[in-house]
Amino acid sequence: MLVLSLLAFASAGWVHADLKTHQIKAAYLYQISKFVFWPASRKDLAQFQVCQYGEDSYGGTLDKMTGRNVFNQPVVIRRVDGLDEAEGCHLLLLPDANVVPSDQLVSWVKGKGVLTVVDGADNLDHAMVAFVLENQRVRLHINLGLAEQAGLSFAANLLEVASHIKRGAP
Amino acid sequence: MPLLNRLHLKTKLIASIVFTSVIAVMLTSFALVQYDRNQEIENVSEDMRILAAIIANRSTAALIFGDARQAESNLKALGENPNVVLACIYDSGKEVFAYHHFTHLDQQPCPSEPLDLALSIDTAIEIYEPIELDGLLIGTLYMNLSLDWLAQRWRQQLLFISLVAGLVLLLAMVIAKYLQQILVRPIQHIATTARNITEKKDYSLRAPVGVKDELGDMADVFNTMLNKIESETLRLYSSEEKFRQLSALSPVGIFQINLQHEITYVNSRWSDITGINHPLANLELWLNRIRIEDRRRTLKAWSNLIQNHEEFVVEVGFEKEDGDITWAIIEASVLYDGKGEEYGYMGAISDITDLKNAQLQMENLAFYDPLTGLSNRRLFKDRLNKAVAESKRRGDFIALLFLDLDQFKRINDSLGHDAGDQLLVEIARRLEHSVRETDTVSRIGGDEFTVLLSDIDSSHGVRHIAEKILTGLCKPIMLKNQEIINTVSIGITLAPTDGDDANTLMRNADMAMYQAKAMGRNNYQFFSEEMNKEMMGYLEIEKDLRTSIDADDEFVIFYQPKIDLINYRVIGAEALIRWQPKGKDMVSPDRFIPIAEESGLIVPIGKYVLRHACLQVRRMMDTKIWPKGAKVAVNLSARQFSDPGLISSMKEILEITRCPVDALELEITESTLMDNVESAILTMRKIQQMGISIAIDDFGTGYSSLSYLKRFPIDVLKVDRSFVTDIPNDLSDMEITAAVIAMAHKLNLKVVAEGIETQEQIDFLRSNRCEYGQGFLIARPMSASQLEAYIQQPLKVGLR
Repeated sequence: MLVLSLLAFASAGWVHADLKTHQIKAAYLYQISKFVFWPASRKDLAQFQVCQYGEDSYGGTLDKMTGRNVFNQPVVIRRVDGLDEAEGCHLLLLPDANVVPSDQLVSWVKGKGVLTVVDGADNLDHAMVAFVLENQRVRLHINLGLAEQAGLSFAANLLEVASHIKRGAP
Repeated sequence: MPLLNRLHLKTKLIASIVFTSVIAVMLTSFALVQYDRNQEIENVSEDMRILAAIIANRSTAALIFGDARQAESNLKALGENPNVVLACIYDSGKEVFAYHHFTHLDQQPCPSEPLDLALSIDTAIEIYEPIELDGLLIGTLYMNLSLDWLAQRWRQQLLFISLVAGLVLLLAMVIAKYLQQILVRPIQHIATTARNITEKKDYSLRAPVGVKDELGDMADVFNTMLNKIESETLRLYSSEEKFRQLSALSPVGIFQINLQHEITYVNSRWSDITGINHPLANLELWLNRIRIEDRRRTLKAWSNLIQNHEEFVVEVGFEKEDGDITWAIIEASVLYDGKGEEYGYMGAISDITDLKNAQLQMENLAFYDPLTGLSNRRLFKDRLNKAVAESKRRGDFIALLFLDLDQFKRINDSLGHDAGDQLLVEIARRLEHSVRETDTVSRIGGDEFTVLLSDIDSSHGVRHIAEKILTGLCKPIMLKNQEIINTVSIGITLAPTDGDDANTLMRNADMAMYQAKAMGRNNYQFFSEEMNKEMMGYLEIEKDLRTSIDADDEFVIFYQPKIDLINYRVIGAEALIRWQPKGKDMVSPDRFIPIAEESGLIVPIGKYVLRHACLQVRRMMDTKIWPKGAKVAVNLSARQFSDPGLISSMKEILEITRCPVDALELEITESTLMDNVESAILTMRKIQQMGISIAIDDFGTGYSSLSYLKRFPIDVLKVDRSFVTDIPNDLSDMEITAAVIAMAHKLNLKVVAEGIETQEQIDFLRSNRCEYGQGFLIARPMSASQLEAYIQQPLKVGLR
């Protein structure tokens, strides 16, 4: 319901408010997880872990994901302070890409099955999904090469709605 | 339907085949087109639903991430199918999220909100495909497909169907034409043959049998029927020809009339008799030719025939244009066909003019005195009988006056017959002047007259008339320049005071007349009781008759021989009875027979005569005296004739006496037969069936109708002795005798003349071809033994 109301909100027009942007990003996060094909090993885990590394760029709206399910596993929000803590994460949210050196992050995700999400188009080189504000609308940019290295793939649907797709090796 | 019935079988056949074929093509095509349409729609719908499902699935992300542009570009993929007109995507709030028009013309907006149903096919195919993600409905895809291509397809199919239908039509017509030749031609052959037979009347024509199927059978059956008809027709023709020849040769007119009362056939003899030529023949004209006097009777008989189917025989006269009358007997009866239903009437008409003329002449001669023109004895007797019956009915009186001229014989002898005749004529004239027109004056004998007065109040009135007659008759008459005074004696009797039957009255009047003569002539006398005393003798005779019948030996049979007038051979004898009561004188048959008849004693007496006559014939046959073919004639009185036991007693007597029936002849008087004609005919037929021949006795004294006489089954006529006796002195009696003989011959009867006393009489009878004779000149009545001797004697001496 939240998603639906968010969508309705989004289609009604964008409001210049950070809260709104945070809420949309949170809603998109939940939806994106549905268009991502996870490796089978990642589906056997007891929880769907959404990990936050660094500051909260969602304005606290992530908590609303708690209690919902992704492939029948309850969503858990967890804070991590190092890559070593992020092994069991499904989604790794990196508001500021610079918390981890980019080449370290790129090499870490290989074969991990962890979807890295960042803000801003500039950070796409070392993350798989980036939320980009275009024409006052939240759009998706996708780094296919990196995702492939992480062992993840995207539904075509998702790729269609992405405004920019980066292909090839990082 | 009436229109269809008027069509030729050929046309019907072709029409039905063509019609059936076209209908079949139409129905099949329609079903195929419908099936094709459904199949097409189903296929397209199925394809489109799959496509819709794919697009819906593909649009989830666009919907989720609010990318309307992407959603619209997804929708464009539907354009692969050229029939898609419009596609829309609704979001979960049922608002239009994205849409795409595939045509530039006639763009219609998306439905205001999506429907729940998946597929709607109406003027277009509409598909609603839900867009789901993770089991949640997040939107609906709507797709609208135009059906124009179906219409296009249908038009093509129609064109193709029309083409096929046209071909089928052509093919059907060819097949029908061929079938028509196979099926209809044999039927047409039969019809043509039948028509030719009807037109040409040629029953030898046959229908050709071309095929071996049911139609061939039909032609066979038809031909067999024709064979039958042909042979029947031939038989009919020959039968008709036979009938035609028969009727053409027939001496009888033959006619046939149909139920509409039109004359359908007459032969030439019919035209001869009626005087109507065949083309003019119609019933009305024919009936109008019948004398007015006979017409009513004829019409009555006709209507009786038509209504009650009673055949009739009527005697009528046809008036010819020249005024002559043709007399004829018309007989007609109903015609029935083979099924017993009437279909007309047929009859014969025979010309009896000669016969009728003979009868009329005879009647005239027989009932009127040619000299005076007065009614004669016979007619007088008839009138008297009628007057007696009439007075009985009315309860009034009649008077009978018997007149005898007092000096006639003297005048006749002295002045000659001419003067005598003149006197008689004058007397007759005066008598007629002395009485009323309703009274009857008759001359019953040479100088005997009678006057019959009917409706008399009292004897005083009679007395007055009698005196008037006496006064009138005794006035002088000039005969041969001499003044003669003639007187009469009159006997008067009254009925019913003195008697109530003709014979009694005649006897009474006769007695009274003799009394008047005895009283000195030229007066009149009424019949009195004293005179009646004489009659009492009758009762004594009756008593004696009864005694004699029981005694059985007081009657004697005498035989008077009859001979063939050509060769004088004995051809039979009349049995006559003689009676001598015990201890008394012989009594004349004239005296006792009427008494026996009246008392009924004639029946046992008749049996006695018949038995003895038969015994005598048997005896003479056994002794070979009786000539071959000869008959003994026995008189049968009226009383005997009407006796119900007559036939059985005759059979019994013939059996007991072993007398052959062909040796017996019964003589019956004409008056006996006329009492009751119908029952008389029945009795006569029974007698004739036994083999006994019948002779009519005293012929000429009665006045039987010829049509009856024709119906009597008789063999012989006996001319009454009263006609023969006056030959050759009385010309009129001679004429009667000749007429009777001629008429008898026309009816194929033999004639016996009685009372022959002179050679002149024999000569006259022979010249008129009278076959047989009987009388004193030939032989007197004789005993049985004398008869035996008479037959055996070589030739009848004394006869020339």
